[in-house]
Amino acid sequence: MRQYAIKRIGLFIPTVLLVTVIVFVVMRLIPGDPALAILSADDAGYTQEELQLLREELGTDRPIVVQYVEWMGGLLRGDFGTSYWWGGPVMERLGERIPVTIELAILGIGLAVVCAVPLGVLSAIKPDSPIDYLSRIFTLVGISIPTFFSGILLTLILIRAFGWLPPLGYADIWEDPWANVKQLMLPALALGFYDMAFIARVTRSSMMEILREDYMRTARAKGLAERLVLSRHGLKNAVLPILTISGWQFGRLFGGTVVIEKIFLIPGVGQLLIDAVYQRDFPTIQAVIVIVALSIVAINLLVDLLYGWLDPRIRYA
Amino acid sequence: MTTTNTGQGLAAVDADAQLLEMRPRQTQVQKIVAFSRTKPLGAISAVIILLTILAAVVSYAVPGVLPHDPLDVRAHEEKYLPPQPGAWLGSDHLGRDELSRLIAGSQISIYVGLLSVGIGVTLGALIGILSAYIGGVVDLAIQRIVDAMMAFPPIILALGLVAVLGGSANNVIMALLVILLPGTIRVIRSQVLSIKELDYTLAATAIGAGSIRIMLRHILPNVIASYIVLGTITLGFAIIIEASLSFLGVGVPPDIPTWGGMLTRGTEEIRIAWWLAVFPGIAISVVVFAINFLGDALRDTLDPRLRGR
Repeated sequence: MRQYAIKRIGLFIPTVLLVTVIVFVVMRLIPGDPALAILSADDAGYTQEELQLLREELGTDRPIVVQYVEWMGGLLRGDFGTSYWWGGPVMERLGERIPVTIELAILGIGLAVVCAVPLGVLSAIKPDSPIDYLSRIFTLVGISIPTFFSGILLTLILIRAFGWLPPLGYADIWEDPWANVKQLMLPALALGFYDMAFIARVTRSSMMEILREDYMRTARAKGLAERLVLSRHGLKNAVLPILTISGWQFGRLFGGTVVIEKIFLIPGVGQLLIDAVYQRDFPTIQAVIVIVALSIVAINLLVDLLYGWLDPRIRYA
Repeated sequence: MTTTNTGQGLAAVDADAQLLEMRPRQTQVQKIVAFSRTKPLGAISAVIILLTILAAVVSYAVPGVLPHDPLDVRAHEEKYLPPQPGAWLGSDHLGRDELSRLIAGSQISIYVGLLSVGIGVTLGALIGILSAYIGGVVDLAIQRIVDAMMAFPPIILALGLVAVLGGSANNVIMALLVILLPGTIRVIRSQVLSIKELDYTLAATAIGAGSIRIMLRHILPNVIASYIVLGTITLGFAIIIEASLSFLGVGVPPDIPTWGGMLTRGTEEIRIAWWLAVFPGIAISVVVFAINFLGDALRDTLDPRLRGR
């Protein structure tokens, strides 16, 4: 296990560095001179001295490598620079938004796993039954509907069928937990809808493969109750691919939060990113992208390590 | 002895040739008929996709073919007209005709989708072949970059790129290229790695074929199936990303009708005008659904090795 862990972490470090380099190149080099962009945004005009002064202030007059090292240093300290938009530190607003998005993402993936696993298992143990057909149609529809449309459809169904819609917006979980859960349930369901369908498909195929294994027949032959055969020998083995996929999906979910937060007016990282794009506030965009990408790399590493820990076959492969 | 052996060998080759001749070669039409028979849903999906492409091309090329000008705010007397004869999908908050806008909206989806996938998957396949064939440090470097690129959620990367490049259809295509490349490179590379070890590649190397000849004549034809399947599957993905960007109001400029942009308005007015949210959403979902279905059917028919991806 130790060797396996060292190998995974060894792959992790260059990926992290490359991610930061990519973000830096895309966000810092392609847009050109940020000082010029800020000054020409005002119609008032500017002098060469003003331009030079702003360049010095932003630090963009120094060599690229120096700028990168400095930016990386800030990143390690949790300092993402100053926003072009509101003039304060980027971290100030980002810090408020991160817990909101994490809560939404955890609720989303939680709902998805809780619904998808039983559905996938049922569908696998009774292939070609009505439940299996329903679940297969549901999953195919689920992976084809874009996240934003499933959010809109859920809202519409609630309005038309029940004449009711949970209040949009966001209540702090520590101040009013009940209102918070009520508001986040629908967005979380819309967010997790795709993943629910995807995880159900993976569960079904992984479970069906395991049902054919010799040890399942042995378990039945020794007289074990069907329920125990399925849970102890079946699901326990099927859990591995489900776990991996859920981990990967959790990363993908962060992309979905952008759209869902916009539809349901949730003040999360996604809203901040869209607003920053409207404002062309590059330090904030840069910070959000790098944080999300690094979280995903970290989650993938955790999933890999967990996978190796749970399944010795992976470690020695 | 040697002569007898050669004789037997030749006889065997003759028998094989006869067997091959006995099975008539399928023409393109016959292949399509066979495909429709074994995969009826795939064939229906193909028809839906072709109709959408046709609608996009015709509505763009032939002026006045739409029931109303999609930008005309006086297309209907009333704003928020529910669907009814004459205004089959209703009218929007400015009195524009929803049906005309929906058909015109297919232009951007199809243009951005086809172009980004066409360029992205081709480029990705070429890089994937080179990466696997050259191997060594080049392969390692490309794969590390691909790993790092895969860490970015597509929408978030697209938002960043569009923020940098500015919002326009061609910049959305640029952003999509960056997003589509890593996945394509990875799939094609893994295929080439196994093809590289097969006997016919080794045989080609043994008779002294050059690298370029091997890549073009022996490797490329064997990844064509994966290339077609990948192209189909990523087309749906590209259409969703474009629609998401337009929905967020950062993709194509808002005065051009797009399915994503129409959905934004629909979401805002969902309590008073359900049709504004439902029809563009259905249009995107049906097209993407058809593309996914066709992709699955093509994969099963052309390249069973890709199953389960």
